[in-house]
Amino acid sequence: MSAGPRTAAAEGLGLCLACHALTPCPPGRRVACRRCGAALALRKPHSLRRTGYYVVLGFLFLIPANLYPIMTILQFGRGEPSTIVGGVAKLWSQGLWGIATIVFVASVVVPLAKLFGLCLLLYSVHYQTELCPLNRTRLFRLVDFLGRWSMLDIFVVTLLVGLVHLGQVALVLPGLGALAFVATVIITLFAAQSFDPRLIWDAHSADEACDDNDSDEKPPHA
Amino acid sequence: MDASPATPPLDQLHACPACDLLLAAQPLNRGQDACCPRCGEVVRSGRADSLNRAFWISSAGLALFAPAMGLPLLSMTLLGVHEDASLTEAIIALFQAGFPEVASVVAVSALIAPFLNLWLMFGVSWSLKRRYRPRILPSLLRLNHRIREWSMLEVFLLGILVSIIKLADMSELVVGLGLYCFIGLMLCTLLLESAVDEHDFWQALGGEARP
Ligand SMILES: [Zn+2]
Ligand SMILES: [Zn+2]
Repeated sequence: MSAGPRTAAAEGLGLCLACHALTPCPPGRRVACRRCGAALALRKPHSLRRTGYYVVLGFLFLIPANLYPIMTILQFGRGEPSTIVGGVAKLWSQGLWGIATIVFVASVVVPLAKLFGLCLLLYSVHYQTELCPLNRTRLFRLVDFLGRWSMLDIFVVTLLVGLVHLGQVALVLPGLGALAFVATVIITLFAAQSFDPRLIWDAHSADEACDDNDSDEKPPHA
Repeated sequence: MDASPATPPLDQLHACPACDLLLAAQPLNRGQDACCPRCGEVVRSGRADSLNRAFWISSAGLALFAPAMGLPLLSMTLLGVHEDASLTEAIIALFQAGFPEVASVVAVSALIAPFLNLWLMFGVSWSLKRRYRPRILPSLLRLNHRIREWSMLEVFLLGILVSIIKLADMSELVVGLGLYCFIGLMLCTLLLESAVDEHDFWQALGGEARP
């Protein structure tokens, strides 16, 4: 089988990411989708560079997000500002291991994993490494899916600030860390959006797949 | 401008959004998903009656919207002092605490994006059901597509659960009616994604022949 499956780009067809219609499109140009009118190109323009910028920015904002306190819980006028990690440590020391793990994963592991995952994807696409494209696509799906869950701590701060304002008795104040953390989350969401997963496959001929490609023989209707 | 002669008409082709593989469009039964044979991405999902489903689910979501946003999610009592907060009040409190940027992001992801998502799905499915196709419909569908990923109600619900656990040792907590409405609203937005296939909307818009 020499004539394997073909890609849309090889046929000069651009996929509309809004309505999924195909429109003839010359390489490197933007045309309007023939069905919905959205601008489309064969690949997202400057995908690697834009994603790279966002990843660097994301790392930069992650530093103040973890150094500055995300909120202060005051009871009877006493209490200390707590950072993201400090809040997790407090939950852990209270014996709330389950919830401490959830918050730790959402606020610390997910943003880091997302940024490092995107770094790996950028590196592998730019240097055309031999890493299995299917696994890299899976990694991108994971990065894309997980990103939103880092908003968890921000939502907790919002609720606590809205609920706990009992003057002298108890008060929750937001901290600068929340601002930096929101910036990180938004930046990583943009980073994932600007990455084009089709670039992962562009270096491979269309019918090539890695050895552990278990879904290769799956019929189109699964 | 047409593709090579060996290529079937454009409307009978799909491309995988994750790896760009060209695929022939095939009719799908309800509940079936068409997966990309190369990367496994779900390219299309066959859903029965997407328009009607979208109409009813978004109606239910819109009915739940105001109580979910305006009624107290939680109320707490500490030393005889009582306090409760709705989602809207929490966002306003964050605004007044000097964090308008954070408050805006929360407002977009927990209030504005779900709200627009529901209204757009409601409006588009309603007009398509009536075979009324104003020229603005494709733009509205596109807007809905962009806005959907900013709607994070399921994450907010987890945030409510974490807050309950955090506050439980500090005060007496009572779950408010708003929380039940919020859970219903969240289920509506999740159903809009899983039980409805957007392609049926585009097809109903008339840009593509049914396979
Ligand atoms: Zn389109
Ligand atoms: Zn694919």
